[in-house]
Amino acid sequence: MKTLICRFGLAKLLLALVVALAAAPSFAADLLQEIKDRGVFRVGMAESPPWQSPNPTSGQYEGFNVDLAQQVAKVLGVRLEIVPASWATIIPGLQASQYDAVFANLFATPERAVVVDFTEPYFTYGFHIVANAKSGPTSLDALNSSKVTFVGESGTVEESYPKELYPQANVRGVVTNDIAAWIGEVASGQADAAFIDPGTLKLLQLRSPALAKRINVLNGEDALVKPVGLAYAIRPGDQHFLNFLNTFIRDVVRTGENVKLRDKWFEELAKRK
Amino acid sequence: MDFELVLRNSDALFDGVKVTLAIALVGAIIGIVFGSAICALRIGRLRLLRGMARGYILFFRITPEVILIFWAYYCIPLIFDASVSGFWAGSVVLGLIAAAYLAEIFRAGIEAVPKGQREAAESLGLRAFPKWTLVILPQALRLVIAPLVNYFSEFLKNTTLLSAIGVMDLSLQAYLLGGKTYQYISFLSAIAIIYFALIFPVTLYARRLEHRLGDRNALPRVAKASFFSRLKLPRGAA
Amino acid sequence: MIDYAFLQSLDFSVAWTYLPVLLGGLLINVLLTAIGFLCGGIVVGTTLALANLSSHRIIRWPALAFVEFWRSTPLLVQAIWVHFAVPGLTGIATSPFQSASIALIFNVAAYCSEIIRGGILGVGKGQFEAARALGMRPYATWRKVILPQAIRLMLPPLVGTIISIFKATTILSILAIDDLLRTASRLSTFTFQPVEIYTTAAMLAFVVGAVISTAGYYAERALKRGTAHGL
Repeated sequence: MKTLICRFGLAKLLLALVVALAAAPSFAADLLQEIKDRGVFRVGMAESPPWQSPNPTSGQYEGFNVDLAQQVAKVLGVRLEIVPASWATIIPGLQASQYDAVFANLFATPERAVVVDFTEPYFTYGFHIVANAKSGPTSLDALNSSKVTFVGESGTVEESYPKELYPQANVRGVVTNDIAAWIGEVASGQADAAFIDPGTLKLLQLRSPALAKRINVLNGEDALVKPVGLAYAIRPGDQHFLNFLNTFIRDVVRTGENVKLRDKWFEELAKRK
Repeated sequence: MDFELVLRNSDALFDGVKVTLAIALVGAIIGIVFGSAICALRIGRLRLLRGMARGYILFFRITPEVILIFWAYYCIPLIFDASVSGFWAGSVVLGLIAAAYLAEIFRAGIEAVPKGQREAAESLGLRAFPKWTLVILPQALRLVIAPLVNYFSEFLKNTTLLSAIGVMDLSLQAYLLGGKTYQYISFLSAIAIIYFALIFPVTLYARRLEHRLGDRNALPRVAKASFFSRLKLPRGAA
Repeated sequence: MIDYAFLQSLDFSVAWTYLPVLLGGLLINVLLTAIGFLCGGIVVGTTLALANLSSHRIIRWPALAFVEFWRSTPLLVQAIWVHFAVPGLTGIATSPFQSASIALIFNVAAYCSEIIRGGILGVGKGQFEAARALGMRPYATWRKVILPQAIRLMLPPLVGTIISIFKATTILSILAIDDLLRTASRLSTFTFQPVEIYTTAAMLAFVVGAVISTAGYYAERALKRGTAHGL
């Protein structure tokens, strides 16, 4: 009889302990601790070479943000897991907890900041606006007219910025992730203009002079439009994890490693046949 | 499912329905016109033209539709230095694909007209044009309508392929609205119902035509029968 | 009209370099075709066909509704819906490939179930009655009398659906699976040479389609031999 009560009492004690442990961290969910406990750092990426994209031959993700994600995983002492997503679903996926953070060339816009927390920017970029050489608008001022059609991939700033800056113009969103395809639309006149970042424009001019010939660059590198920062995104509320990522990014920016890595990857892509 | 959200955006969805129907109309017209032409070549006298028609039919029936649409929209303007909108590129391609299928359907209909009809017409001294327009084609038409309507329901489903090149049809509208509001399920469910409401009646009509015009063993016509009683709904056999 | 300068600038060596990658994408399409035909067409399709033939309304009506719904809605919409609805409703996060497979399986099953049902119905009622008159039990009737004849009736049209399934797998590219079209898009972004890449992809798809279609045609002919429809 006594041993039974002892055993019953022990069970109650264990139960109380389990409940206490389960209840303890619930008032401040620490994503960082959770990642360390889990042993895996899950990162969502949308394809955008050379920032992050699968190598065509090997299928493994590589790029600027992959390198940085691997560094973060090493600091945390965990394995890195890349979860592929598309630009249209990358933020819903974060909200649905399919991954812990978005490590991609994601522009930190106020609209997005309503639903996610952004780190500090690791780069700031403005945009070129390119137009069809034969029939497109010839200057930045001519862009805000209902006769102009912009094209951009749906879910990206290339689609939302024209709507913001040139409200009179039409904007067509495309579903394909193929930059060459929708820039090709500007080259062939199916669309009149598009936003394009300097790195991608340089790649285009290098790899396809025939396409580059058919488009006009309306603003030079000294007059880039709508500068905005590239940053990483996490779900709102994880302050500790945000601080950690910011410390990491400040480090990368201060040492100039962000510029080094970017140049390395853009050169890689330019060289690749 | 969030009905209110869908209703608030019903304008955009309605625009999508209009585009979908427009694609179907343009494609259908091109399909019928070109299909008749290809069929004429296919059963014609010149072997070269017959072979070319066969090649056309083979190519457009075998190649996946999405790939053709993609290629037509992104590559042809670059090669030909001409700009063509997604709607026209896609509709024309769908029409050309339909032409291949319709050519075969027309051919089957024409060949199903009993040979005796052709011989009788010739023996009555009818020349080619009246023979075709007064004797063969009307009878072929009866046999062709059911498969035609049947293909049209497939065709309506194919209109969604144009969303791949950014044509704002119903499916792309729903996808973009879902992306904007992060409420994919509501919009996708809504358009699934809309597509069903558009396509299912066509399927039913095709089935009715099949049993009224094509089936020798069709149920005898009852004077006051309803639409549904003429359908052969499934019954257990075992 | 034709931009000759552009045509001259086309460099198809890039297609040769990346041919293995494109073929890898094509392989995914072929894999999905197999999954669609075997799991969808045959396994789920037979189940649906039998459900549709059931004498119990409570089984027949849901099966009928299922078949009609999956036949009268576009595969594109079905695929995207499955990809977002399944995680939303059940909480299980399906990978794009899994969502694509599920949508394809149900779509193909709906089509094939009609063919299978037609095959079973095509075996005359007399066969059922004769088997019963001979005292055969239901299971033996199905296995020894009905199914062999039904299979011979349904196999030719079923084989004919394989090419349609192959073409349908290209639609699933919207779900971000590494299939032919998506691989082609990726390569086009890498190389900025869309015309070369997409033309090669189209040719590959045509070749595989032609092989499947021709094989299907000869298989159909071989299967029809010896039946009332055959040679």
